[in-house]
Amino acid sequence: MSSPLQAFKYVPKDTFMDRLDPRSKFALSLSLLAASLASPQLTMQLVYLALATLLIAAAKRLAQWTPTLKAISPLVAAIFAANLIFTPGMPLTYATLMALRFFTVTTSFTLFFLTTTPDDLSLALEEMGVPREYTLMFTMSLRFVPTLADDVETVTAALLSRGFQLDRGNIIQRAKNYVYLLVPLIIYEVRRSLMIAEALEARAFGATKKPTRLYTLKMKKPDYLVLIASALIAVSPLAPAILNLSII
Amino acid sequence: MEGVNYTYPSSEEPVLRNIDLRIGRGEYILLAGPSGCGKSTLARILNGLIPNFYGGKLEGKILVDGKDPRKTPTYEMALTVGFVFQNPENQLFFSDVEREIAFGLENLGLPPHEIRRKVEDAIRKYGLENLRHRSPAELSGGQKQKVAIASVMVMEPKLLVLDEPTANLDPISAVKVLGLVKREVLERRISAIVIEHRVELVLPYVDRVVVMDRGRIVGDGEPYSVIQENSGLIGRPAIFDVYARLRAKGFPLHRWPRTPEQLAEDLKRILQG
Ligand SMILES: Nc1ncnc2c1ncn2[C@@H]1O[C@H](COP(=O)(O)OP(=O)(O)OP(=O)(O)O)[C@@H](O)[C@H]1O
Ligand SMILES: [Mg+2]
Repeated sequence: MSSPLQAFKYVPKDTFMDRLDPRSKFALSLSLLAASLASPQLTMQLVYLALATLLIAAAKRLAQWTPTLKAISPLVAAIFAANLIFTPGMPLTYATLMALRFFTVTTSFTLFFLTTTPDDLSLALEEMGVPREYTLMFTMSLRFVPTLADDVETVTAALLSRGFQLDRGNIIQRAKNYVYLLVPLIIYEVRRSLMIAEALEARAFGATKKPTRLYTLKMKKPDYLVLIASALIAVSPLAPAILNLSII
Repeated sequence: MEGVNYTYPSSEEPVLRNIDLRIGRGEYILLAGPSGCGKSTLARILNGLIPNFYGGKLEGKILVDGKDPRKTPTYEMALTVGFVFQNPENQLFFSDVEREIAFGLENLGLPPHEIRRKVEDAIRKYGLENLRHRSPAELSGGQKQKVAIASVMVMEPKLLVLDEPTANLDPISAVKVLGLVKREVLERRISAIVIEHRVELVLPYVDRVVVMDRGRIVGDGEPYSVIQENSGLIGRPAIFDVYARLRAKGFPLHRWPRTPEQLAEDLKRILQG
């Protein structure tokens, strides 16, 4: 998997964050995200970013997070530049705010995905009432990423062995080359998906309207603490006004 | 099955013609025949994928443990017939072995503690303790197929159908997988039908061979004679030729060899008097 996508690949670790219920983790990430979007102060953005980073560090996922950070840096630079040029008044403050905000939003988002197994996520969704068909679609789409990557390689190799050159010619020619790659690949994947559907049927998929789960989710004490903390984070953008602090 | 004919929706010609097949409890059957003769098609009828999933025209008398696949949804057939497909990649849906094994039971709506117990049994039985939380990408071909079989067997089917389960495996892993099936046949008295092109791999285990050709069953019975009569279609293990030549030379060999080792043993016994 390429490095920016690293953020969405769960690597099992046994930390405080991993042991949390996915629902409370979701609340935590969401509250950080909401607070960052709501708060107009630079200082607060720094606090949220620091908090999200600290949580990633507590989850021992810093090494996995840095590639994402690198990958989004050009984007952040672009956001910064655009705001600097197009904002009237105090462009530097505003541009910095927007850039920081983008970092915070991605970091809090990443925090959730780095510490939650896809399976836990779908479990949480099911408990919230999402039907098994949809959560399964999500779980399986992640499960089949490596398979798809293998298939791309297989089809590319098959084409190359017949003298096909992917990187040949001008831009238009290259785009055409990718169509040559895509057509067999799509056929390949349609066939694969039919075989998967068959196999699902053979495992009694759809036998009951109310399928059960091996694991069920249970909120524990730390989860409730995290929920309270999330609520506090969510209202924190109001803090400077209430406390009458004059910060930027 | 009695007088079964089947035609796929997209074709004119029937792919199965007048199939008669009776499978008894505790039988381990090899289903062999040239590519395209209809083996997979026959297998799909047994678990109801035909006609439920594929459609087409299915005629004749069919009863699988009292159920007619034409009147029974696939998920209900799945309780009686376990199906292992050729490519394990397409029958593993989760990034976790434990969840994979639990999936069939979850679909049946079993309570969590019962799922847990059965999953633990299966994990122990198939020696998957160390692979419990692996994703398919982290498993070898043989391990994947082992997980696939475990996830099917955990539903306790009465008939296990395996459609070229070892096609992606090296011979040693293949023999191991087929051996796992043999154990289920012996321990649980289930019936198993395995589709396999490499006859010599299955030979140590099966007690009946069914040969198909162009949609018909052309041979059915005790392995040695059926393989001899149909070697033009399905090939013949080299060991059979050695056995025949030894007998022609007057060696009093009383049983046909399932493996080279077995023949060597029998021969040793004769030579030592
Ligand atoms: N979905 C389908 N629609 C139409 N025809 C099909 C379909 N699947 C298989 N066939 C045809 O039915 C015939 C029997 O195919 P089947 O897959 O049962 O053969 P097989 O004995 O399993 O072969 P192999 O050893 O190659 O797996 C073939 O002629 C094949 O082309
Ligand atoms: Mg086949």
